[in-house]
Amino acid sequence: MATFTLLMTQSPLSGSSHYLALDFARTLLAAGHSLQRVFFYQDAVYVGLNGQTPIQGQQPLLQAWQELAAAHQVPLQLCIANALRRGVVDTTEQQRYNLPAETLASGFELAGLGEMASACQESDRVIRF
Amino acid sequence: MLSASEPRISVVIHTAPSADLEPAELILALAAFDLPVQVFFTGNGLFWLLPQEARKPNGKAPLKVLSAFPLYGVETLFYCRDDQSALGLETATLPEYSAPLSAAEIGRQLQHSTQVFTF
Repeated sequence: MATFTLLMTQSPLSGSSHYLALDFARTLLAAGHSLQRVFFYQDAVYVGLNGQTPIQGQQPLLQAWQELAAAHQVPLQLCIANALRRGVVDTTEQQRYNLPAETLASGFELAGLGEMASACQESDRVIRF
Repeated sequence: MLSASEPRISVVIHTAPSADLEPAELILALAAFDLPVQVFFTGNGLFWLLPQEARKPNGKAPLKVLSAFPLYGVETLFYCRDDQSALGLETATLPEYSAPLSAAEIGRQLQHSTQVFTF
């Protein structure tokens, strides 16, 4: 059995990479592989915004990631620098920069790029979507 | 160039630089953790290698960021010779720490990589 890390770089608001990645993650977990983490980089960090409301009838991506993480104990990590640039902040960063509100959705965490370095060392496969 | 047997991470940049140069941040972070990283510029990614101003006020010019790569152990930046020719770029305008490779050779390098990231 192999260990995987997913690197997401595309915005959840365009394209279908998040849907593909979710399908891929569910499939690899069902096959008995391990998903160590999902790391969100560049515009992919927008997935962690806590105030998203999808168009009626569409699958809520935020909820789909949260359910996957909760069911399989998969860390959902947003690059902290990329997230701060885009206004996705947890309580700590909100207070540090005196921002009006915490905007990070539950189930997600802010993490440094060292996590990606660890992923490259520890995972058998790092797949970018 | 890293030996064929050495584990390495390859980063392929095929899009022109944007304001925040986030692909370069990832490369520097990986290199800072002593991971063996190779960088290949293909297609519009070659525009990273041209002298230019920062893409936003008080930002960093792409070449200024790339010039730090050797300090982190990323000694040579490879670019696709085929794309350089197709784009009509003069090799004299490209930094001295960059080197051409054919598309086929880049493909072989990627085949020997443990991880490949594209931006």
